[in-house]
Amino acid sequence: MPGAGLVVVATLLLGCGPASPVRDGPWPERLSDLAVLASEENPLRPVAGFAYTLAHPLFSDYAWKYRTISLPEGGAAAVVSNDETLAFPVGTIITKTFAYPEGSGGRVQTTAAPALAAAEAGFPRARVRLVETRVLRHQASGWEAVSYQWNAAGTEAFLAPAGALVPLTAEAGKTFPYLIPDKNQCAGCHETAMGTKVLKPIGPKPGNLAAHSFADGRSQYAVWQQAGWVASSPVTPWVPAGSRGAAAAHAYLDANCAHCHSDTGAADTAGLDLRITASEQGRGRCKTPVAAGRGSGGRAYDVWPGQPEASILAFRLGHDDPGIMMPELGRSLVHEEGVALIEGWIRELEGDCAPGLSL
Amino acid sequence: MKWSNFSGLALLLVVALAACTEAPPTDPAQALREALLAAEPGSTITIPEGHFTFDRSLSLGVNGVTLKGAGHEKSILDFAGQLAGAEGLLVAAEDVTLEGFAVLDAKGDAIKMNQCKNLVVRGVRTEWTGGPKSTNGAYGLYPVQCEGVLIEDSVAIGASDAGIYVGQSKNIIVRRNEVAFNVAGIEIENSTQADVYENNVVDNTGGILVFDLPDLPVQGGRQTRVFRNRLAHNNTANFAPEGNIVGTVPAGSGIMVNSNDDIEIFENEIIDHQTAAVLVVSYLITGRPLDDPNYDPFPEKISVHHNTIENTGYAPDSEPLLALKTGANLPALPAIIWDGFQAPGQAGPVVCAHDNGELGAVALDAPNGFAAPDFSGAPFACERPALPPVVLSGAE
Repeated sequence: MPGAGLVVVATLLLGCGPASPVRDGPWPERLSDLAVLASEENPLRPVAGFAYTLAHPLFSDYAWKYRTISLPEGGAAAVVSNDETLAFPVGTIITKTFAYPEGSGGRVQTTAAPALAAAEAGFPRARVRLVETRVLRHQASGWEAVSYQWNAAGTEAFLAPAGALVPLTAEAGKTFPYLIPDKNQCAGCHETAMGTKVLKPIGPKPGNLAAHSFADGRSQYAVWQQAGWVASSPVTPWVPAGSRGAAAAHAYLDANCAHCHSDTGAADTAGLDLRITASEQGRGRCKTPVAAGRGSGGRAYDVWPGQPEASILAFRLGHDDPGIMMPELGRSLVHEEGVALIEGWIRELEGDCAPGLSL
Repeated sequence: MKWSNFSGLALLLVVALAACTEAPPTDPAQALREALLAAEPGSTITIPEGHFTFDRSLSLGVNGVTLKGAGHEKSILDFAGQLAGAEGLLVAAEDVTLEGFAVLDAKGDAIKMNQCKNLVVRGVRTEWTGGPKSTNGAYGLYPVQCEGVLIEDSVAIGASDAGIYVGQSKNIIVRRNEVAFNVAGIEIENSTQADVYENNVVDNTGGILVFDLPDLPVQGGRQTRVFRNRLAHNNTANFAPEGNIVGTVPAGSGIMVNSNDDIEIFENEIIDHQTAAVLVVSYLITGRPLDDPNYDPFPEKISVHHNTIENTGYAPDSEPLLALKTGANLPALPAIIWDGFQAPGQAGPVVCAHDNGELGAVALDAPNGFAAPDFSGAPFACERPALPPVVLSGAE
């Protein structure tokens, strides 16, 4: 019955672009079919849900990030604690799109992202190169994570469970491999309690969300509360973006390291706790390395108060060799501003460690 | 069968064959990555014979998977061109078997197995092919926080920390491996119940290390048997990057115990070690600060017996030991060296040693600045009951 086949094709064409987000079932091959982000509109913006910003983001090779959350109808996030990721309802879809401002001659600009502008306006598509959109979907069976890789024209992104290395050239001339994580690498960070096989979002913690205010002065978190996206409860904001000093360093370490370096994460084997709630000792003060290998850089302690140049933490953040650097995945470039922040914090720490000896 | 049906089948076969031969060749490295990502529990993933290069790390997160190559000289996973990932292969799953392949020149660790259960590594080679260098990755075979570990008939060469490193784990057998040109050949760290036997451990800085270290979530390392191993000329200059604990291991240490309890070292052949055949120390000897209230820095209940020891202690790679040798005008130090640190209030023996030949033992007086070393052998004159063997299901 050839006629029936034609009818099916016609229906499929008409049904293009489902109206509501695909919150469960197989992952669509095309990001647009997930129906969360508008793929061809300018700027890139959510067709379901809302955009948000983290005052203290994970550094990802200076990529600009555009984050959205789509809650299921009537759903709201519950607070676990001020400094832990919100508990989002089943059906939630979180996206994070990575892009670079176009440079000259096919290069990209690697400059600190104007997080504030991006959150509200979306990406000005004509001026950015879209690289990937990472998606976390809270299904009945738990969270799943996968990335979609954008085509060269920036018109559509395609499911990329095996990830990819995308060679990019910075405006200054340095070529670097940008990593689109494979599914296991997604889990490598998002399985925040190692061994449980349970993935969770990492960024949206009340303190971090509340540390961002919109240009008109409204607190992002207050907006969420008024909209009913999160249950109303008191929040203690982390320091604002761009701050310096100990509190800013603690927030930076939490955002960039604590998904592994906690009491349950993949790096709990190292006994280093970089959550914002950690003590100075937990954070590596006078702590000798365990399995650092050449990551020690010939330095005796993770954090040697007053001496960033003798502290392993600063060494590993300041390196771009995959066998040395921290975080161990997700960057090929050094976050100069982040290193400066951490070095500044260590320099201001008081106290001393004993010089090491050997047999 | 009617002819028409048969011809239809034949046609299908032809189409299928044509599709196979005309399909674009798939990149075997990419195929392996995708197989690991798509693995079903209980499945076996085969690595064909060949030399495959990778620019980013591989990982396995599915329980019950066997990853099997054609042999560690035939199925080669080459990471010399690695651009991303802190290890060559990362395994984060239970009941995994790795067999018959090699991981070469990983930028960080070669194969890391985090929080596994019932792990089997058989006939796997990890190697840095440029010789012992501080720029090599830290660990070759690296299970950590695992329960049930069998590593056998494998090869580990060139790690800038330990060739085979079992950390914070329980119920471990490491046997019949070839381990050479690492800083530490085999290291059992903060682990309980390990049997290390019949390994051939040569040309490392230190041959076999049994350590218990502070500031780790899993402590109280104890009950390890090191027996019937061959340890020969582990005199390679220490090339660990500074800051690492193995950087403190003197070159020419055959077997070294640091702060562990219940260790039985027996029937090993320990030949040609410039510092010591057996070295037993406390973490306190490192001079590193210690403010971990849960940590016991004193080795206890160490038994060293029936080992064959030759040619040892002739050129100690340690300032205090060299000073001791020179000061006492000895051609060589005794074969067994204990630093003398003892838990406060405990006077009983720490190291029992007997039937190890004629090369003797010395108790250093390290707590008192090496003031009164005891060469009499009296501190070692005792015997301890044998430790029970490790029982692992599936390991005969």
